[in-house]
Amino acid sequence: MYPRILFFGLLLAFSIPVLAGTFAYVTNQGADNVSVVDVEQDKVIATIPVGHRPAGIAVSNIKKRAYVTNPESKDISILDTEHNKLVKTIPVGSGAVGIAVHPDGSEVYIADWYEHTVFIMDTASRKITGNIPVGNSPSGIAVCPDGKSLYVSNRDDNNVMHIDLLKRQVMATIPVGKAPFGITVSDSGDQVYVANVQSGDISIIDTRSDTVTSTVKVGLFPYAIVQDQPGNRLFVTNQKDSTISVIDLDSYREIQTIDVGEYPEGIDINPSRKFIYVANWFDDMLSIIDLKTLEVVKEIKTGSGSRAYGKFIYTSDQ
Amino acid sequence: MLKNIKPILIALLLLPSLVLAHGPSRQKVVKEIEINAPVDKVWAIVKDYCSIKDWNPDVTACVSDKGNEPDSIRTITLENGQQMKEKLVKYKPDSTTYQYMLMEPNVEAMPINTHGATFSVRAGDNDKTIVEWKGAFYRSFPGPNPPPELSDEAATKALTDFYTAGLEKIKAMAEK
Repeated sequence: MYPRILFFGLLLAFSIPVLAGTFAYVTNQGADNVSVVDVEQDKVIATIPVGHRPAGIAVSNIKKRAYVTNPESKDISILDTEHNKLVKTIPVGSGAVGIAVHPDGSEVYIADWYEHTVFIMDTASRKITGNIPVGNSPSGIAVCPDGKSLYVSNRDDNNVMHIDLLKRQVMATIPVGKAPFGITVSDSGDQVYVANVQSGDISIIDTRSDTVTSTVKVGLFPYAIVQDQPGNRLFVTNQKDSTISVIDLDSYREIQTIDVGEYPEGIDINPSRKFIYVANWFDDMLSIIDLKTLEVVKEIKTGSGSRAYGKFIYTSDQ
Repeated sequence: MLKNIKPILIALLLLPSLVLAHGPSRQKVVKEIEINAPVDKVWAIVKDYCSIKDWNPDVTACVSDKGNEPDSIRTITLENGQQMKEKLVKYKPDSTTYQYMLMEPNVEAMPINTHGATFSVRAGDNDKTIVEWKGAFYRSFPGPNPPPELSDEAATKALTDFYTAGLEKIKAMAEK
């Protein structure tokens, strides 16, 4: 009897780390770790040590991985999202910031702030297989849903580059606002949205013509953007206003602002499109906003300097 | 070693394209002090954007172009004669707080870049007052491998010392 209980008890204990649900992977730049927040239980379930000053993050549901850029230790951390532990640290460049995963999980793209290039890592071999030179201080990266193209924002050149991932070359250079940072591709792949930190606006790029079709004024120091496709809206973090701008994609106007914590930075949406999540850098916490009421429904304490710059909401459906 | 680096660094910082660049890792400093005096008395000492010359011993002079108006730019002079220009981003007398930001780095004044700060006065317990000064900034060194004098730690120390000196003087003035 007892051995059987022990056996099942052990089985249970070992199967606990494989979790089902929705989780936020929040890079804490001041604490050199990542907080894993169960956003259904509203609590931090794991804290994973990574490299020095982690900034960017990209989760892959297919690969069950989270990829983290550590600009000050000049490497990236690969995290296992099933067991919430560090798998491997890969040296790359001099200042990795933005990071994105290919939709099929085969490659990871890393924007290097100092080397003015986008590094490519093969996820199977975990080796840097190449790089594509871009503009000055590339910061944000977004891969199109069809996996054929990538868009990168060059902060110090005030432009965005369209890269063909098969040809591995720059197809277009698109002038945008001042100091473009966070970049997002729409779910349909028709548009690219980029936050211009110093001009306080959002450039909307039509991906068929690779031109800016609209510029929308937002708050002070906009940082990152997420699209709410069913609601036809964008949500933008405004660092120096401690707000989120809500932009209507019919009229291309800011229709509302939502107060959050200080220095809101990373922003992402859950797959059911019911909530958005915002990492507040100065307040070291995650704000959860209900997309129906547009109100902050929960604040969860994370670690020092929460940044979560990139796609940081991971879903496990096991 | 720094002697040789410094002129080059300053030259680099003067180039417009590099003035924009800062490192990828923003730092923060939060300092507060409890003062045994009412909020009104403390706010009266600090409310003018250029009052920093009266209550921060590291500042020898301050001039502003528009006083407490939005976008007012103050030029503060430090003990070593170096200057920093800071723009008033928000001024909210009703909530006894203001926000400002460094216009461009001056490494000779302080090894910081893109410094944004919030200065606020609020009521504490037992009729005391809390003054809070919080700043977000980057080191001024534009590359990935700063010498120790221009590191994140050096930038953090310079700003921490500056905030602390100011807060202690405010306390001394208000409790007098």
